[in-house]
Amino acid sequence: MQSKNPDEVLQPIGGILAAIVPGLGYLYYRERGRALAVFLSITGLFTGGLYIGGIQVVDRVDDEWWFVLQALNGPMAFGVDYLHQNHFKTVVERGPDGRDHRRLPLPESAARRPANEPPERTLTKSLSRVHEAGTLYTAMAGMLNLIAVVDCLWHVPPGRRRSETSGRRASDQVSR
Amino acid sequence: MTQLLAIIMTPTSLLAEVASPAAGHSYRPFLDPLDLHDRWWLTLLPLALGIALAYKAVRVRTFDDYFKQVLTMTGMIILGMVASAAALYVFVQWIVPML
Repeated sequence: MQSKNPDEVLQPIGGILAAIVPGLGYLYYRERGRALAVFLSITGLFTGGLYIGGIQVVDRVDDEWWFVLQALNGPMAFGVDYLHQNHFKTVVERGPDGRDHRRLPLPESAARRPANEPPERTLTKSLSRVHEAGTLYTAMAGMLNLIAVVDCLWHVPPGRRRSETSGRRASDQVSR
Repeated sequence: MTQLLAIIMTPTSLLAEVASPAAGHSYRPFLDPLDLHDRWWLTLLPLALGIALAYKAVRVRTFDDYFKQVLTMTGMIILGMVASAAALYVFVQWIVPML
């Protein structure tokens, strides 16, 4: 069992920065290489999930439990959900002709008269494995970011080196 | 990424245009899902790589052998998924019918 590094103490600022943007906490500790690797890998996973499954994979309302994991990515998950809910998510409402009509959640779309105009191109939520894969990508990105946030929360203070004999990244500090 | 940034920076009035029939029914990156329904399992390979990249970025002592460790972990994840799939196949196809 790995012994606890005595140099590591609670670092709220590092933890908060890591929660805001993936990798920002490591930048605070002046570990630029690690910050870049964490940022690229986690945002890459999140963006990859959006690319594979479409913006529907982030849905705070319909997939709230998946969103709990996606929210661990920080504000970018909330931003994508805001875009989805307010600009792209399909709204189904009863039209004047008594039939259900699908429209975008935009004021311009609400003002349209569906009976007189062709239907808008709305998003259709995929029920296939592609949607599941996209959701999994974004959720995994959130869980991996949680590991980075916890690591930044208990860390050697910035400007102080880890001791050479303790800490799993002691040699990293020595080599720089 | 570029497309997503373009969407974010697009005024609200233009977003309806982007998603309207006038724009055609072509594939829209980051809005429509990829047409990988027959080969969805291919998406698991970059997922394994991404998990290994992020996890090892936090855990490695030095970045000297970072990519070597990433490739090792990626291979382990893929082998684990293949082994799990094989075990589930045997269980569902062979063992369950015997019960």
